[in-house]
Amino acid sequence: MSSLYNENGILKGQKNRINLLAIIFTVLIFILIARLFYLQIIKGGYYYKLAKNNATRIIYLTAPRGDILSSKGKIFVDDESSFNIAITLAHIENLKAELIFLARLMHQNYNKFLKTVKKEEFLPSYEPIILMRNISVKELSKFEVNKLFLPGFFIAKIPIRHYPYKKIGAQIFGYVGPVSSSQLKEKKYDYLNSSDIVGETGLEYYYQKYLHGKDGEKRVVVNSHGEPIGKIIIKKPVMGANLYTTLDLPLERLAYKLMKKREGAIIAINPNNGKILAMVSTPSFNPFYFSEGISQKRWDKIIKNDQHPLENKAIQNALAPGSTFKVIGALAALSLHLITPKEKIYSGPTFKLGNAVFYNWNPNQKSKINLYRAIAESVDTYFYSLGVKISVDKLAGYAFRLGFGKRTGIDLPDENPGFIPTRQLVYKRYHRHWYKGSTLSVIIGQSYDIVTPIQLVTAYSSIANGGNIYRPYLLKKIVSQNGRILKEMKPKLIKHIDIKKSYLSAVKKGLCDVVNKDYGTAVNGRINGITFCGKTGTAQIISKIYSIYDIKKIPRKYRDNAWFVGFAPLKNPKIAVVVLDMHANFLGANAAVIAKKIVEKYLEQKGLWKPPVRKKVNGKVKSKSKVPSFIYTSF
Amino acid sequence: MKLLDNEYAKNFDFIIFFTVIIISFIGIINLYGSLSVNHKDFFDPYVIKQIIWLMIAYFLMFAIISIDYNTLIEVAYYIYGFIFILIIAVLLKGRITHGASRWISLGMLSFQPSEFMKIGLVFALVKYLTSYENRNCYSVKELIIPLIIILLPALLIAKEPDLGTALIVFFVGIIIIYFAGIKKSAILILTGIALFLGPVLWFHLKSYQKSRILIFLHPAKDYLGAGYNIIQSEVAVGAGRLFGDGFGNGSQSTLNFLPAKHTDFIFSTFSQQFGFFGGMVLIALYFILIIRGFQIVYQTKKLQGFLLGAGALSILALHTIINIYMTIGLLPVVGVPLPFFSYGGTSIIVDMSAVAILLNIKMRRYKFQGA
Repeated sequence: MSSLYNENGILKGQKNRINLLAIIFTVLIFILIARLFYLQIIKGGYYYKLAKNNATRIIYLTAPRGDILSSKGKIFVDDESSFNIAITLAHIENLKAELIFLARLMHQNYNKFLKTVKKEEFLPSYEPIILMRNISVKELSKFEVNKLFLPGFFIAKIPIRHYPYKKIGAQIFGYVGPVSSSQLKEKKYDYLNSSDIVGETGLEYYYQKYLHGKDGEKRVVVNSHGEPIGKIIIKKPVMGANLYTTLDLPLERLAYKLMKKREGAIIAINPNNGKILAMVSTPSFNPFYFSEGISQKRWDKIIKNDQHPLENKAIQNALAPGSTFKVIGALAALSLHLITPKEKIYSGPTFKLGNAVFYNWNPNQKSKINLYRAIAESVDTYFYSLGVKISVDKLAGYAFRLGFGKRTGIDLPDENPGFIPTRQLVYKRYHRHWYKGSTLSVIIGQSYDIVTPIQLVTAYSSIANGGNIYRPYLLKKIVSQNGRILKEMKPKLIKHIDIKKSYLSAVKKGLCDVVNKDYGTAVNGRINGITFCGKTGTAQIISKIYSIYDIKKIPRKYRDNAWFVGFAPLKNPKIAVVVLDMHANFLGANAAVIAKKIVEKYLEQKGLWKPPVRKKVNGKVKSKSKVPSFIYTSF
Repeated sequence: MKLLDNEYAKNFDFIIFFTVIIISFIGIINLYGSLSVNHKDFFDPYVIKQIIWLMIAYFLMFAIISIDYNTLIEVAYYIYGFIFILIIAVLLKGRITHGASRWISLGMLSFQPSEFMKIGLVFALVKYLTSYENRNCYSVKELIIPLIIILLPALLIAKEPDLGTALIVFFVGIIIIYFAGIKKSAILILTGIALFLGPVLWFHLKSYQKSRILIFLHPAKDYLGAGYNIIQSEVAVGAGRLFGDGFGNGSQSTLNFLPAKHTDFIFSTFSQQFGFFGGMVLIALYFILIIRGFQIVYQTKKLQGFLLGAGALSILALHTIINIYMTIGLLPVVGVPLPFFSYGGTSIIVDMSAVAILLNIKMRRYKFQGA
């Protein structure tokens, strides 16, 4: 029939086309194999995991965090159930209509809801999205009544941090917040999952590992419609361990009450072991607002507050110690045999070094005095005359012995090490050569030397207890929910300071006179029947540009910082206290009154002291009005 | 055995025949393994139906090889016309499945006439291209009728909408014309027209077809929507790793994460169970089948057989390549079956017919039969 084919049947060119197609086909097969190799061999592990996760649904059940308790087991921070309105997109019938319905019901903005849902769009549709957090009982009942109209919505009970004392000790306990994606990548947080909360500051941060419980999970194999196949395996969450602090609840509350309207810090500590009895920093904040992610508005408000509510001033704020630092000069001079305690040195209203004139805070000073009186009256010129005899490096050596210039090691994050000047350190830090006169400023605590309240109270504790420096600590013990003690803190002696007992006693006597002699600077801190010892301090913020004595005319931020640090009783001390009252209206003497109230309360609790029978007007308590508000420079 | 006399039987290609048997056998095993965890049943309707269809297909294969292909070419226009009418019938009054009207239901059985058009077109084109003498270099003008023969059903099928089948019909037709021979000028002009028509066709695609193509370019963009198929398929393939999760353990299919796990995505199902190793074995079998097909076509001495074989072979090759490429994310998702592996009677019949054509022309390559 057809004469189309030649002797070979088909034209040569047509045969070649077959070869071409066979080659193309072979190439395509090799591309296919290469792709399979990539998917199955190179990325096989990744896809394998994806396939497994595809089929297994895990819903994490957040474990309640452990409680933070006082030493006697009173609750400072605990978890309570919060009610939250949540949705699972998989069970929604008409998202838009239901969201509008809920928004109207709860008087909320529909767009806000929609935004929240959109943000979580990439979550698997079975995973709950929280729409409204921590709703009120009224809102809860409104929801329950209308539940029928809201398929796919449900109430999710989630543990939330609860702070019965709100702002008290907020910086010490710290706040918690939803774990961030960058935290999740850190190795130390590898036990967390994305719905967890994590301690961000304070004890919550420091003991996060213990406070955080073991999250539970609901695990079920499902098909692509999310329908469960087989058994649901539930692992119950285990609550985190309870943290007993060393804090004394009544003392803590009193300390906060006393500082509430001031800026500063109080630490009360047991000088014989470093147990912290109370620690507050003011102004404070309510950590509750952080626990579910703080709103931008609140955050801005806290951050813009120039009194830094988030800062734990007790350990993070290093300031000039003022006259409280004079004990270092005294101990150094005694140890270097420059003076004896009873040796009288002339101390006038001024002290000259070359062309420079250094002033005494009290212009009426004009007598030969011994060390006791010099401490009691906080005579600057007495210490200037010591200052010219001691090199700054030697002086620093004694400051280091008492623990200044380095962290105390308290169990809280971000402790400030402060700074103690030596020639070398000052050059390294400020690129300045030492000027001899600066030593005179250092010795009265008004120069490069800066200390934190915790360092100061630790140093004074060691003077009180005869030379032992203990690491201050806040944790008493950590107890798991089944009663096992996971960690127990024992007092830790860091070192015994290398200073003769007799010198310490001499300084102690001086500190005793500060409060108990009528010429002392803290007579208003006197406690009936107890020898309360301590030292006032007033640290200038700027040098005397305001030569006014009416303190109220000075802008707040330029007002001096008032210190008082002391311990009681003299023999066998039970408590040491530091009070930092920043930019105070009344100075060191008033800080002493605050400290006194703490000491009284504690000793009263211990049964060592009884308040005098109430005679409000006649008693020594009246001395508050005697506070010499004109006292201006350091004492 | 009257139909198959010895001279032909001697040239029966056992390589192709047994390759097909092995592939369809593995296919049945794979189908068992893909069953949902809560529907595991030895007499699963999917598997039973597939076995029945395969048996029908083998009978059909023997029927086809027993008839001289020239005889079949003689009646090509009737076959083509009949299928064409069925396609129109489907369009007018088709059963709606998955938003597409492709099916004709005959009681228990339902089938897609558009699939048969792949075979019908091959015969019709070969008949047309061989009915004139000494034509092996066609100009544009001479190509108008062949192009109508291709495009008319292709466009109707695309309208069903069944883009996969329409594309196969189109490409098979083009390949046959290419083998028949085209003038260089015709190639240029037709390419020009195609480039011009491309955008026009784009606007006539259904939105889901467009999104499939777009999603193919960016699968992660729409994870739960149109990109879902591609991603789930890649996950299934990749999860197989070297040796696979084992028979019946392909979670992507047994837990129904894979859409169309029996049909379009059967290769993904297979890959998760048997891994790279299993995939290589399967691909080797298809490679043997198709390279053997090329050999048969190459050795065919008669133009009718040559073009017919080229058409049948291109059906098999395109099915294999497009289907697997689609499951591993190298091509957009279009409904193209994997020969003898995907579940579905119509596609088995079509692919078996293509194999039968190859066997047929091999058996009759020396026999120059008069009309």
